[in-house]
Amino acid sequence: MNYAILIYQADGAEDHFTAKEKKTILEGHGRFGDQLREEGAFVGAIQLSEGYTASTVNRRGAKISVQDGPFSEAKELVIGLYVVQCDSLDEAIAYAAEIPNAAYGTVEVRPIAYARDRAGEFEP
Amino acid sequence: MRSADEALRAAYPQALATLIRVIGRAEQAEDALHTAVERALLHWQEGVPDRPVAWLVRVARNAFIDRGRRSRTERRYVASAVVDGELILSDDQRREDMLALIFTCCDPSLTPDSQVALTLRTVVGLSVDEIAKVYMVPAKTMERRITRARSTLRQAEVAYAVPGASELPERLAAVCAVVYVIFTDGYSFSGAAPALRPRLCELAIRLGRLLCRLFRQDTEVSGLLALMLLQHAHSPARLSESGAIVSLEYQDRALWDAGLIRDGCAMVERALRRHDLGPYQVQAAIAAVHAGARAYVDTDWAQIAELYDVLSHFQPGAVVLLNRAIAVFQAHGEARGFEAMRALEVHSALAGYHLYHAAWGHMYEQTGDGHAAREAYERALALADSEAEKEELSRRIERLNSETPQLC
Repeated sequence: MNYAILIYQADGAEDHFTAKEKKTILEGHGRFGDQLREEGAFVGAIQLSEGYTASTVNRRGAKISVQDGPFSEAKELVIGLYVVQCDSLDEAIAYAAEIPNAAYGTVEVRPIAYARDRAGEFEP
Repeated sequence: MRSADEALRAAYPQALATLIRVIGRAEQAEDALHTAVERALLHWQEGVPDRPVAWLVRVARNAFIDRGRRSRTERRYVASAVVDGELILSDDQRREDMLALIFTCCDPSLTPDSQVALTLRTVVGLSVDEIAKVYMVPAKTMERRITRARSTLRQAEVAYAVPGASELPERLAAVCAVVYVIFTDGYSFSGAAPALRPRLCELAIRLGRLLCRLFRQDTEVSGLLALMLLQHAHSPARLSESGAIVSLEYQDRALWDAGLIRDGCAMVERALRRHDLGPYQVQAAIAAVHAGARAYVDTDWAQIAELYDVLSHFQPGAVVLLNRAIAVFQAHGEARGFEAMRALEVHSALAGYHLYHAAWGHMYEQTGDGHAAREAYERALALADSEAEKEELSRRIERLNSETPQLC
């Protein structure tokens, strides 16, 4: 089973991290990725640019509207995600708790329903 | 866990913005918040509360009431803003409070120095000592500057409020200017204490991000942040180990911060497609063209010359035209470059500007006139005021001395 682990962080939180905290988080991701690969659980990882770089798009009939900034007015935004291959939800949750951002923001585990990449479909 | 210090720093500006509205007077709000901060330093070591802003506002409000110097009506007014000790603060109200604080710090009745000091003190939350250190003035001087700024605001009866729609564009432009001054104070080679310059740039970028969140649809606010991100991306490559300035031509581009460039370019692109152009966007676009060149020789100078043309419509000053002339020289060669430089001779102020002479020096150097290049660099050296720039100019003169035979 493949799971997405979505990483949420308060919009603007990066402004208040110290250099040391940033370094800890970055190194934590390095170690986490290594661990996933060693254990054969790594499928993919994505880091998104800052929320303020987002464009929000709607189409209603022929009218396309584009707004600058992230869609959600929520205080927490998705800043990145991992895709992991696990035998059980328990295992995915255990991985999620290892993500350094779990100590500052929130991570969410969601089973993947369908996925394909350039090479073709991969087993969800 | 977040450290108590960082959580305090993050919560301070919003708490102050709200307290000024609740209490009504900036100095009293700040005094009360000071008390709350002292208590937070004691209590937050074991754990930062879930809602640090609400915690600070509650404690500060209580401290204000406890002082007992308020009339009964004022006390009731302050108490009514809070229900059951729990703050009712909508996101809109938070935004409104924060905006009021920012616009007041950048009020046109204040001098630019005071706007910068007040913004760093109240919007960023630096202490007076920290600001004094950055600008290398005694703490007393900075204290006086801030006190004077506050009394100016009081005398001019400036209300802590968001300007009306008709005034807004001009007032927002003034806020952007203050943020950019803070950035350039950190970015230039004079003005701020060397060790603290990067921090000043980071604080300006933080303010830029805040403005972007508050004014999502404003293309110039996006342009300002993009410009700062793209310029700050060069920081790791701008100084040699000996502390001399490394010009764009000789910077090791591998040292540039790829993340900042990525975000900066994304923001310029997004802003430009709105077709609501302004000077920050154009400057950011110029920075983005530089960022897009893998090596100095790959720079698209023709595009940069065109962009400086556009910029000169917004900022018709001599410095923009000088930069345009440099780009014209690089893009179209000696004849057109020299022509553009000579057209600048009507701007007499440039004669006292070291970068004007440095530009001539660079052009002569590239066209093989070592003698004229050396003379121009020497004029630039005599006018330069920062050590880093002097060192770079001396280096160029030395290089010319060793390359060209002395014919006496």
